[in-house]
Amino acid sequence: MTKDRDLGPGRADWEAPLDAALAAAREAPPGPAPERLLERIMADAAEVAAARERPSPQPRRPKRAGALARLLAALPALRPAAACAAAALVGLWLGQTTMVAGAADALLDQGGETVAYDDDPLSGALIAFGDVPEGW
Amino acid sequence: MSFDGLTEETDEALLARFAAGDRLAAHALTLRLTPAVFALARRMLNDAAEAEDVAQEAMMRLWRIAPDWRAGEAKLSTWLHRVATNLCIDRLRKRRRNGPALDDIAEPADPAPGVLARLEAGDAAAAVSAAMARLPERQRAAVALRHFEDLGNPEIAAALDVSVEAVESLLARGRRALARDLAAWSAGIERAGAGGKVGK
Repeated sequence: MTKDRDLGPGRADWEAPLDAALAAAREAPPGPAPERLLERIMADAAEVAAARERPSPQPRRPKRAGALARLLAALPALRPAAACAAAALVGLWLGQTTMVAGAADALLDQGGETVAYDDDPLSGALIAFGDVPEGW
Repeated sequence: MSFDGLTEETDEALLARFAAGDRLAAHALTLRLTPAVFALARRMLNDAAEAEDVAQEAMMRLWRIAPDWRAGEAKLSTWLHRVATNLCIDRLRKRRRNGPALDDIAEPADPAPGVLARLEAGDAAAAVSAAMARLPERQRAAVALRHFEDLGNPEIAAALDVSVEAVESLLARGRRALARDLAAWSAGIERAGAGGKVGK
């Protein structure tokens, strides 16, 4: 493309003819806007107006998960904290499940021996269970 | 369809009426604003079909923004020029990405003194149109808004979202490039004419 060089000291040499050329171009307008274009634009206006007059649907109540997602999206700094909290919750749940299962296994293996639940009022029932004769 | 009474109202008042549900106001605005938007797009894009698309898109944005229009913040025609100009610039950039780079277009030779002055008025319109098509997008927009839409520098600055100083710079560079291009074009015509005479 043309570089930004001066056309020389005689600016009037090109300024005036350029203005004349621009004026001539201005006198030759690019033509009126076509009728079909005007019709399309008026149809657009009618469509927009009609859409505005239609009752808008009831806004749905935001879901809690959606609200949390929006909160996290708005505050990216919270994302690591949320991930840590979720991991901790999963860990707690797994730990609790394993502990309960382990305790149940231990009780069954010990066959009624009072090891861990000496102070538990249910321990008597566990001893009774362990003392059930084979024939029963 | 009669627009009695509407022709006296300002663009902003008509837009407010349209936002309130007056469809006749939309018709009046369409007839009043579309020709200028279309002409600007046509000058900038040099393509009637694309200019129609730009005009339609710009007016569509006007209809959509009508309820949110804040009177007194901006002149509606300036806003519309800004939208149309940006749409044109987007299309020109897309064209440039798909077409030859500006650097690949041969640079016109410097004009011989007085060549530009001998440009025939009849040829000038076509030559200006062709030379405008060679200008970078923002220079083209500034020249079109200044010389064809009669906007002042502050209005052009608002339309292009640049400072008034930047507009002055764009106009100066655009005019200089136009002059050089037109002079080269004119010199080429003269050479062709002289060659034809020699050939005969």
